[in-house]
Amino acid sequence: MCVTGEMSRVNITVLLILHGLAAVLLIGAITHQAIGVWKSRPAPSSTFFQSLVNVRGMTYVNAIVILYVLTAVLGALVYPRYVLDVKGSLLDAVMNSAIGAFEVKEHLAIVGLAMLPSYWYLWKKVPATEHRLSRQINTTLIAVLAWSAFFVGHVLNNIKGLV
Amino acid sequence: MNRIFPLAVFAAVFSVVYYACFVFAYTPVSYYPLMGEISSEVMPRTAGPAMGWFTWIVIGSISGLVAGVVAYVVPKNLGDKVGPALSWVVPLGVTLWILFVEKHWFLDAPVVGG
Repeated sequence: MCVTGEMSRVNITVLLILHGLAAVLLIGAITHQAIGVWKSRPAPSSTFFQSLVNVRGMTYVNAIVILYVLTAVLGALVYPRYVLDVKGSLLDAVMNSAIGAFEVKEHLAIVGLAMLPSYWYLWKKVPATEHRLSRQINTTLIAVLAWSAFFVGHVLNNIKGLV
Repeated sequence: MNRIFPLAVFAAVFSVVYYACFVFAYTPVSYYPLMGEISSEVMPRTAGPAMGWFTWIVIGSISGLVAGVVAYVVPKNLGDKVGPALSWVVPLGVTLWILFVEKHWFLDAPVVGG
């Protein structure tokens, strides 16, 4: 029984680390793409910022979709453990802001998930000169949702170590 | 054939239905992580906390899928005009709706000692 419990704890820790690593990769890719999508025209890449802006956003799309889904699935696997182990501690400590931040995170993550098919289509199937604004806002909104989820998850992970 | 419109409808309906299920507490089936059981009945407190999140995702995604399939019959001209904007307007609106509904966690004073 104890062995099973220990294994379960190890598995959750591994899943949580993988969830965090997938989120880091997602954040890197979507941030690059979200910055690049607003550029008006190609510029010579002589500086760091110009190189950052000049990324070819289309090459990131499949990786972002896969990473978003992977991060969400890993998050869903550890979510029940959060409800059992972490949320109760936060309630006991009356840390309403932390609980609320996670509530927002769980909902915003699903909004981003719902946007992925149209986001993919706008990048992959629509010519670059068409529907630029929709592509820009789709990408930026998914980046904001991913960043907010990452930030909340990171902070809550730190809080759990203190409670 | 226009494709962006059905996908935009999927995004819109999925996100709206998902969050509406949460707001109106529509949870026909709950997951009880302490017991490791899925139940349509309200289990006693000893069963631990109930989770509706997975149910709302399933209901939202199926609703979005059905709406997206139906959206294929919309004329191409109309779909091309509305589709690209719909793909972000409704999700952005749902994002603001979420922030509005959940603001009480951050604005209400914590109740200490019941």
